[in-house]
Amino acid sequence: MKSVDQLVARLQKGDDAAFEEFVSQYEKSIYHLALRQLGNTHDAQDAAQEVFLRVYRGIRHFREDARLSTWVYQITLNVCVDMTRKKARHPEAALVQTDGDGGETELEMPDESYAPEPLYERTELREEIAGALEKLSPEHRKVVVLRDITGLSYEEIAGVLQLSEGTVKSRLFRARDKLAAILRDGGNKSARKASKISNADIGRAGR
Amino acid sequence: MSCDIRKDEIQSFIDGELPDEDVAALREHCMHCPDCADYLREMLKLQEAVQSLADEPVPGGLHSKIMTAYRREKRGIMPWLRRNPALAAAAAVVLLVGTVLGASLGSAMGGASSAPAMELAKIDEDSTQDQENVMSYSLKTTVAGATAAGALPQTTAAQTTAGAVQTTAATMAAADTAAGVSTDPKETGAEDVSEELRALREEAEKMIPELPVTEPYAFVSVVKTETIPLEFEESAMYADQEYNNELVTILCAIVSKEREEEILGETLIHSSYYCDDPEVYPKLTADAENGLLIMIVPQGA
Repeated sequence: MKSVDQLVARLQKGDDAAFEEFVSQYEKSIYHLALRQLGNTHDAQDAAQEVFLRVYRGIRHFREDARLSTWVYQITLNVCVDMTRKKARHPEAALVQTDGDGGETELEMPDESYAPEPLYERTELREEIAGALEKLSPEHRKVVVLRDITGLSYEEIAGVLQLSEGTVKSRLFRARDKLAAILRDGGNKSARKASKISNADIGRAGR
Repeated sequence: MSCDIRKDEIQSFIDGELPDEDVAALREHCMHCPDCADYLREMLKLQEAVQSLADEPVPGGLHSKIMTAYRREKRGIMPWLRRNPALAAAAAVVLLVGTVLGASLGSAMGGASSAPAMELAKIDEDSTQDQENVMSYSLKTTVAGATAAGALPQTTAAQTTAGAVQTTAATMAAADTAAGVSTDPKETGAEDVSEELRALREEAEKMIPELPVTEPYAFVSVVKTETIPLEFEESAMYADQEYNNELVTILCAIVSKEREEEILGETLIHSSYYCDDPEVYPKLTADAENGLLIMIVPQGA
């Protein structure tokens, strides 16, 4: 019996230790996938939590011939869509700022629970690439993130997104070309607005 | 021209997906083609930059937050009800209805007073929180193809749930007697089921209070012998199709899984955004078979 099958079997029995193992195994990739989709750590944490709860609730229906990781990442993307829709219906929940070009950037609220570890530097390049990713269409962003952040193969991505491998490839390649173009043009435009604004500046409490 | 093909190969290569036999040829090409060499460099840098975003550490408290939520979820009695006061109010009616349906007449009245009452008490607490947001709306109902619209009375959630206990039990008992319905799901024929479910639907229409507009759809399934509330994401599976810019849900009686799909097909609702392929995304609707699917329509849909 494969170890994944064993894990699923234990999860289906309601084994707490198995669930904790499962969380440890997936929390990083789920969090980062959500972070790229939602744009801020607060939402990404909420999303991650919701994903694990949905897995817990749905695991007894999980079919053994399905792939666990595919299911988990699909749930993650779905949770992100749900959260984005909720925000769209209640725009006061999201803070959106228009920049000079008519585009919109969501402001990132400082998350008190998040303290960056000293070894990880929020370098300018990383800020740039994070911003460039946000400028991609959702379809393009998903493939890039699933490939380079979640680390899935073309086949796995095809499974998660329900596309053919050929479509995954063409989307991915086009997405990367777009990213490269955004980064190249980035130097010519005026500096991006600050991505963090304090609560005091906005004059209202955070979500 | 030919280098455009190379670009695809270069990207496949950096993803480790270029067939081995083509790698050597690509390398050879890049040694002589500065454009492709540049492109390879650029793509590698880009990939590295994107990958480095994953180095950002996960927030420290996340793991314990998740485990806490999990433990709470495990302990709670249908905790999704507490999270969704809208659903709680609707489910209160359905819960009881489900219990009565499945039990014999005698024990239904007795049994209904204990466990469901406890849950109803909890639900009351939660549902009163949303009274400011309560709005009236109408239900579109479909039973075996027939469609009817009913306006809902303006009642408070608390009143309604309390009232629901007595009235529904009585009505259901009457409906059961009248229809002469067997409570064994295997024995019940389709006609008996639709008669019974029609009565159930009528009662549910009177009893489901207005739902706060923050919850665009509520979804509860009553199975003949057991009440199985569909999880929120299961309801999203059906109510995803936006209809006239409002999420539409319907109240309908489901006799069988096939009928369920037929009815949903008639209303243009489909599960397009959740994957249909059971190989990939297991369908979570097994519990909806031979039961009542209740969905709520927001006003103006």
